[in-house]
Amino acid sequence: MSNSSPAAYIGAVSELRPGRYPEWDGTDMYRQVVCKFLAEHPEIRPADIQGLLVCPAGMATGDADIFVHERFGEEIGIQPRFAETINAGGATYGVMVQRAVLAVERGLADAVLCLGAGKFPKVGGPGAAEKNAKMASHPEFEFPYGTFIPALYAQAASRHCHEFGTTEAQLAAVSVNSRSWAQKHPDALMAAKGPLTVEQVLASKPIATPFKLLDCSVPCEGGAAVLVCNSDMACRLTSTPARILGMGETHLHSSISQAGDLFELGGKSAAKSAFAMAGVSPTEVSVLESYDSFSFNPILSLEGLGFVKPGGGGRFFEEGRAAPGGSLPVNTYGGLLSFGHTGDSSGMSMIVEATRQVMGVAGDRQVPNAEIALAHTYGGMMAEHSVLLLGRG
Amino acid sequence: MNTKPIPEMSDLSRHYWEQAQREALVLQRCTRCGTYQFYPRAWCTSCFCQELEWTPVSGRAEVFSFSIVHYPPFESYTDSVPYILATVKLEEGPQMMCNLLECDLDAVRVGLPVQVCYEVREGDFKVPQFRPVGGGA
Repeated sequence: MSNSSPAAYIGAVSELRPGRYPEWDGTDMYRQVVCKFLAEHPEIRPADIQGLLVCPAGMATGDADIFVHERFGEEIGIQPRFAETINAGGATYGVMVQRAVLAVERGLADAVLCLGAGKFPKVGGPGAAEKNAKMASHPEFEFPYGTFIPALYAQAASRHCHEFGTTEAQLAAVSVNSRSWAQKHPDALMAAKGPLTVEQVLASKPIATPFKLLDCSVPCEGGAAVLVCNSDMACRLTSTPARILGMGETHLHSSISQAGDLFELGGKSAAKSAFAMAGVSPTEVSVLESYDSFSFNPILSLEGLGFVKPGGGGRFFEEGRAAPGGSLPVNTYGGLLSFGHTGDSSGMSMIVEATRQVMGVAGDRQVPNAEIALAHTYGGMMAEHSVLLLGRG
Repeated sequence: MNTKPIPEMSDLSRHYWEQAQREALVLQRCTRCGTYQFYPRAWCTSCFCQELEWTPVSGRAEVFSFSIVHYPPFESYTDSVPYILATVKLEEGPQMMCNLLECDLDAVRVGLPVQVCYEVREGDFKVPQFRPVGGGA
């Protein structure tokens, strides 16, 4: 760790089992996240928490509730000195951790509780798919061309395939990798489905080239909590906290047709900031948690973050280097592809898992000697990026 | 009847769509730095100048990226699959999204030269689209 690493830690994490919870609305989901977090950390008292960061509830259903921090501050029973409801899509929680680190470092709070709960957009009802497409693409200059999320991501994927010869079998290898890790996670949605083969992915239903059904993440509901805190608080909670070694973020485009440098879509600038702050290089990272709403994205992340040369990401997965026992385990919790994509709260899963890996509490999927973990999350159409480097406290 | 979406235009974009009805593709061009931009904004994103001029452009472009859509995203596309959702790069620089019309699915590729054309939707509303130069591809 370098002198520029912040004096901030993740002292506690908790995550709901991904699934379908039709009986819970957005507020109920938040309540369940808090219940689980408090049950797992009985030593935490209201006076310990001076900061609260949450995401708008009900984003996916189009009824965004931006007063969550207000209502949940009251419901939890705290009066924080620092609180916001913030949103950066899948990057929300990475950005939250970054805001929380600044607050802890500045002494605004000893501990900031970051919460996320989400439901995946249901696009089945009348008008719902159009609404979803308008959220994901420019309503006037993209939506009228028949957009939806897979076809928008495919714009970046097809460009990569063209520039570097990345194959559909290499994309499939990412889904296969995620499934192999998911089988080691007791909560992963697809664990019970057994292993996946490249052939099965390639033979699954075509959605939007180059993506087939099994190149797409699994929609579900869930949520998680992350407590960012100072050294005293971290030591009170655990003997193995995760230190924040470095962090960086970038907010690029809004519409995928307006995107520029492909590698920025893989988190290039955000990673550069994070590595510089941490004073470490990609070769020192033991485990990578990379946002994978589609199989293509971890390929691009490996390249953008600097783990492999441009064009080398597909081969990395094909050769099993991201798999259990590989040189750089990727998405050790099963990824959004096989753990489950919990809608608005999806960006929590990478942070929770990266924390567990450096804390050494990842169970059957624990990467031996996981000294440094990188969590790369992004929101929108690969538009808003957060990179966190976590190390053993 | 083609029931695909009709764009909801704003004061900023009205001229763009009005010209499209006359089968002309126009872009904003900055009077100070000369940069073309798409989509329409109230200022030039290269130099922040607010004096922008609508300028007819060639309509020549090449395919930057694309996806062949097999799963219809919503009802008005049910009968259209498979169709091509593409990003094209105009000769003048800006990128825009479109569908590739009259294009053989086996022939679509990054770098394919394309030319603007117009698709007629409900109420005779014309939407700029692109098709391969020389047809068929």
